[in-house]
Amino acid sequence: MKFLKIILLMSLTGCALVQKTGEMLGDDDLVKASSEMTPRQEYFLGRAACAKILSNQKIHSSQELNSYINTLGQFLVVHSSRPFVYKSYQFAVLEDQTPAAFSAPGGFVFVSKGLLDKAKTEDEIAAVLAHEISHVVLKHANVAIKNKSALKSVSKIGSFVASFVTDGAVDAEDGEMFTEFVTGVADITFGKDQEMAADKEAINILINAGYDPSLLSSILESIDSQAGFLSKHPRSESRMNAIKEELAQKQFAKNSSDRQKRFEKYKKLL
Amino acid sequence: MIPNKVHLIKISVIATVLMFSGWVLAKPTLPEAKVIGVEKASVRQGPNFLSKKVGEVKYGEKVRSFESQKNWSRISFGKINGWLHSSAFGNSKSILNDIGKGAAASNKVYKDEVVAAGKGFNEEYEKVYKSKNPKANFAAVDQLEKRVVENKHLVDFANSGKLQSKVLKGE
Repeated sequence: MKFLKIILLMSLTGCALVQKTGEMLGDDDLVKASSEMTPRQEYFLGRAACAKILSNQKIHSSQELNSYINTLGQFLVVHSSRPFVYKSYQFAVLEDQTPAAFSAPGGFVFVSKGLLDKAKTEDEIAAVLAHEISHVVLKHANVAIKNKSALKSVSKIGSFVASFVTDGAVDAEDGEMFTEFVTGVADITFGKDQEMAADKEAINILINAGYDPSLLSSILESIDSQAGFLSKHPRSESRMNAIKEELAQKQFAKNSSDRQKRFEKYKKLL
Repeated sequence: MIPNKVHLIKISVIATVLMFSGWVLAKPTLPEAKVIGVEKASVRQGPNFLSKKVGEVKYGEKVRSFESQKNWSRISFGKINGWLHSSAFGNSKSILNDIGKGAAASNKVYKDEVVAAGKGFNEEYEKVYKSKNPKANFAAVDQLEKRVVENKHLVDFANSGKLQSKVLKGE
């Protein structure tokens, strides 16, 4: 079984663990392997996860609104520590009424109509996008895959990769198992530590870009904890305290009336 | 005045020391080999996104990296000389195996495993996934990916929102 896991991780990561095959690899090796998935592999995995999400979610019909959110997202990206992903980050608005935001490997980021409805300022939406960008920057999906939180059945995935090694080709059965894997990736829920790390990175992005990062906690507080965004990104006392502590050490810009007007103009397109 | 022998020795010693120290000072930093980990990336004249584009590098290309400033590296690739953000670099081993040029690719014993490593999540898998999941909306993903936001739009966006961006200020 351990051998299958190793092979699985090799397929996920493209990393050359061949020298070690046959030996028992420790957990450190597995962590290293999962963190080395190439940006290209992240991209194709993210594309499949997005295609699945977009099979039952519609992108908002307003091109103008999507363009605004995409420009805002791209602006934030150049202030992050990972502005380059394999192709490019993409940001879009989904028609869904549930307040939700999520990202997929490769830099695909979605916010729902419901979330834009709840937000009062551009700085709040910037905070949500910066948080999602941070999951991509910090490669949290890779870590979730490593922890198997995205995988329902390791043995199935193992045999999927093992059959691939034997055949050297992709067949129908591989497709079924890959489907199951993509479903897991599309439904990843991050842990509290990852959420807190993403908050910290988001604060840096927002400060570098000139946004008010204190609105990260305000958007978290304004959304019902049972709603979509927070079921994917659980809010906790310690998380909110960590944001406050991080902000106490920083100097940053405050929300501006110019951005307020701009946001209100685009909100009318919802 | 004709310099005597002692003077000549002194002059040559001083000249040698000066030449040596000059060589040490002028000695360029040894370049480091890096592999591009993104489909394509713009190389810029200076270490900033708004600096003029001087060339482009592509996935799997090996570049030479010299000095670094914050997250930017001065690189050279063929005739291209300029600055590249370090997030465009990838893990050399993984990427070279991904494109079938890794050292491990020649290891016969583990050839199948290398094949598996190189083929994880690529176009071939996407085709199989599509055939198994006809409802998967790749057309919508393709539409999203057609969009490109130019730098000038980002500058306009920052200015109209009164955003004191560190990138725009060149920090």
